[in-house]
Amino acid sequence: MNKKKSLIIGSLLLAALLLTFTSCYSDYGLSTADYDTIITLFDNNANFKKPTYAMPDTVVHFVEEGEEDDIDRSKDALILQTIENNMTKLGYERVPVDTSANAPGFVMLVGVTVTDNYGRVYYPGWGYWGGWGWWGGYPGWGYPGGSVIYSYTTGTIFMTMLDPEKTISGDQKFGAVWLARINGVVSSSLNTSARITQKINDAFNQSPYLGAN
Amino acid sequence: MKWLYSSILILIITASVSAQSLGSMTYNVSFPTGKLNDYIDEISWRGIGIEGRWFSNKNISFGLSSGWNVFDQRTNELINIEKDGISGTISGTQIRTINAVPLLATAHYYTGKRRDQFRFYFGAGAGMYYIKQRLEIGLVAFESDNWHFGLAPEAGVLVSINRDFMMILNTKYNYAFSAGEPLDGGDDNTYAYWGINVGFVWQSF
Repeated sequence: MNKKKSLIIGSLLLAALLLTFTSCYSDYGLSTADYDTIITLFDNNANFKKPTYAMPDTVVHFVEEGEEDDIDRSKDALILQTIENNMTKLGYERVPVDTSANAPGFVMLVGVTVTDNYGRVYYPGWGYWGGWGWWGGYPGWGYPGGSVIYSYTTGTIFMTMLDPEKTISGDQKFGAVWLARINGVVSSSLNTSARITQKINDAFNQSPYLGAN
Repeated sequence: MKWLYSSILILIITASVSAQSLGSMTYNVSFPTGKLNDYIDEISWRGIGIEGRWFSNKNISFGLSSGWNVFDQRTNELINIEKDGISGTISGTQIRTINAVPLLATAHYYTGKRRDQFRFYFGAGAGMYYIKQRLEIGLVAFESDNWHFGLAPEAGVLVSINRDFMMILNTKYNYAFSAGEPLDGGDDNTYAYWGINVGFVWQSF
């Protein structure tokens, strides 16, 4: 092999190596559902072995003060039913919200919020890359820079399990022993009901310490 | 940074009196170990290395090496957190990425003679690793980047093809000592990985 051949092979190798590095970050082609996240938190000292819980029949819609509540209520019943199914499976009995009766083991509160997010991404023209001059020949060849405006709406479901025996000192409020926050992008193209059911189930499944027995 | 200036000075002096020098470019496949393996347990197929070596005598060379390795993984592994008596779990699709760029001063010892078809060598590099760790989950991303002091013991073989051209095959253990704040908030921020590297070498006399 002569020197010229060596250089050609070497250059091809270099080009192949550079092609393996088209980006520092891979494009995994994520779908909308891949952006769903579930966070569950619990009090390490909580006693979850109590047989009953009460849950109001209302899903609280968190809206900013002065803003109109335009959050869709069509999923509220599904959310409450899915939570009840999970609690039943864990051995908890749902009792009416009755302040005159004995306090239930827990109170489950459910809330929903929807947030609109706007952003703008700027992308540079090819000029940004510079250095193409050495390649030569096409000084007029280029690609104009610009920006794209994007928007998405995220929905969040909050589940809060309060323990009436845990009061926050100096306050007449109950303390939370379990919190779950399910966050995802609202999309009309996906089966939202199935997604909500699945994610609520997942929140309970990732909390193995829950259970009346 | 004194050591770096000293190393560069030694290299320049060595290079200027050196009779032989090598330049290499390698394709690197890397295997995460230790704490890096806890974060990403998949092999990295994206890596390159470049290196220059100047011989101070027949069997010893000094040089500089750099490279770029990308580790990444898509995972649904649960993230457990604990703080102030509250424990928790985070779930969701995650994209975990590590970009590692070593900048090392190297020294190598070679067996045999210059004209041998196979020349085995061993040596080590010492220098800095720029490491950027990223975690994407849901609609948020967390990033941490740090410069780490690191060491890289290495063993390999040079296979002569002709007077100007050789192939190189080596294995290198990259160990970047803990530095800066880890992304997970712990104390230990070390990164380590095995590399198997193959490539071409140009030599001049």
